[in-house]
Amino acid sequence: MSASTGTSSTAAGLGWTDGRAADGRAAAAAASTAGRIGAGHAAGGQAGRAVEHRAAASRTSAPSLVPRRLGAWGLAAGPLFVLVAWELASRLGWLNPRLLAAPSTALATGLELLQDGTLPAHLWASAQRAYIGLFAGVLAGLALALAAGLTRAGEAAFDSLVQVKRAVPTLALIPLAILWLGIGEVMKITLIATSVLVPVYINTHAALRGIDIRYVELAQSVGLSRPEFIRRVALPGALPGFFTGLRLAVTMCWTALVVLEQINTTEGIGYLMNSARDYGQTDIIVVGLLIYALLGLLSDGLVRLWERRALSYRKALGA
Amino acid sequence: MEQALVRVAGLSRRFGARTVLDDIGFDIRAGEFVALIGKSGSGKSTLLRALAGLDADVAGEGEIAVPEHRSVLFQDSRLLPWDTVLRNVTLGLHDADVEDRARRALESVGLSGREDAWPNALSGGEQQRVALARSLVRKPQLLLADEPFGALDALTRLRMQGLLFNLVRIHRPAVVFVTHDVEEALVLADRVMVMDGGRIALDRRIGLAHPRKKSNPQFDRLRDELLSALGVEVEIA
Repeated sequence: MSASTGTSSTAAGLGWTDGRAADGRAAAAAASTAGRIGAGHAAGGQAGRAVEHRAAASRTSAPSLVPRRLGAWGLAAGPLFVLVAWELASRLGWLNPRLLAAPSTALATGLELLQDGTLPAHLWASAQRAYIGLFAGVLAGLALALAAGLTRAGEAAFDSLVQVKRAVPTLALIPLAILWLGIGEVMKITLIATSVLVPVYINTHAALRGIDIRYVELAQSVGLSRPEFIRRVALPGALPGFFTGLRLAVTMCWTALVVLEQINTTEGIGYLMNSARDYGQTDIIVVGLLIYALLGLLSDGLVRLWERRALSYRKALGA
Repeated sequence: MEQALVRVAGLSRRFGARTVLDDIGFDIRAGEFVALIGKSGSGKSTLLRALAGLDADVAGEGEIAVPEHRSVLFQDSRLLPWDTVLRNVTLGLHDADVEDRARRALESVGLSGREDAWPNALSGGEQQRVALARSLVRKPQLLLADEPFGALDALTRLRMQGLLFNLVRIHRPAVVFVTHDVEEALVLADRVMVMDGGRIALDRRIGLAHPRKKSNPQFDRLRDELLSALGVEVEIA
């Protein structure tokens, strides 16, 4: 505790010195701009160091109110523990391989399927469905959210409809979708699109509606036109919400596949897993699960990377 | 007699049953620095928002004539966090030379070199300086400031007062400066209006020469006068 107190009083001391120096210069007049910039940079550097000190102090003594960031290994700790425990349980004979295959067996099977070309074919078929559906759904969700968030007519037309869609599970739409669209790819992609549309719409729309009224006032006071307001204030303000929706969507597009690939298809990860169930091949089922997990994590990671770049202006907790 | 830049007559504003501005009228000349002080709820911010045209949803009547070129300086710097400092300063401007002007405005507030910084990377005082640059780059005839330094620490506040004073001297806009700080009003303003219960209780011209020292006995007398107009007992036993 004493360490951090010491650091903060040092920081205050630096701020004081900087304040008096710049005050004197301000009185001197406008010509000394260059000098003031120098002081600003120096103060920035000192503030940075002070923050470092405080971080160092909190590691040793002071209780931190927010958790420090986990590294990549820290984030992997939970899944790794489950994998190790699962493998051990299988080796010790606690898990019946007819009910659940060991991760190592699944890995060997996965490699085999990869080498004989079975897995890539199924994966390709699934990825096409998932990502075409994702793309269409994200575009539709975004378009509806913009229409509903920026115009009254759009809100009247779409908001309640999407809320109704949200309340109806995608799976419950399958019978109707088959009657309308057949049992081919169009039906599968449409259902994936309608399910990923929901989180994109909900989050983007909420962010658009939640634009800070203070920014609206600012826009009024500097005389922004409506298109300018949308481009400079509303859209960038809604971007964090869109990314939240997108992160939900990239994993959701795969979950819908599992069920959809039971219908009239002989390729895809979902098909692979379901036929494995018929033959009691738990290792192949586990391969499918692992692929879903990996794809989900990978997609989420990519979106987070994109999000961090697009929202680099934020300095928030955990960002 | 010089023609008034700002003319307010019979101005009233109501929030529900509560009258916040009660039949107010005054003129402001070009280049005049008016401080508007008053207790919380006295109506000073409401009056400023009326002058800024930011109160379309508030009930009331009256006449307001203000120049077309006016800028608002809010209590928070109100920078768009997703735009760089430079793009914040040029927000809503389209002239060809606007970027040059913005760079010069940033230089005049001591922030050249920070054009491409994100607002969140700046300190509170620096953010308010960007807001000041954003206001001045519009070449306002009227600058409306709503307790712009109210959220800053005491030292930064003194520096900002000096900066604002110097820049106002160069650009010569008329200023309406809302504050609850009597000394801040006395250091900066040509004229102080004290608001009380939605009316202007006192409208006082301040003839002191600049720079104004708080040690000056006249300054002291004016402060007592303004404080008593605000209903504050100055004597401390």
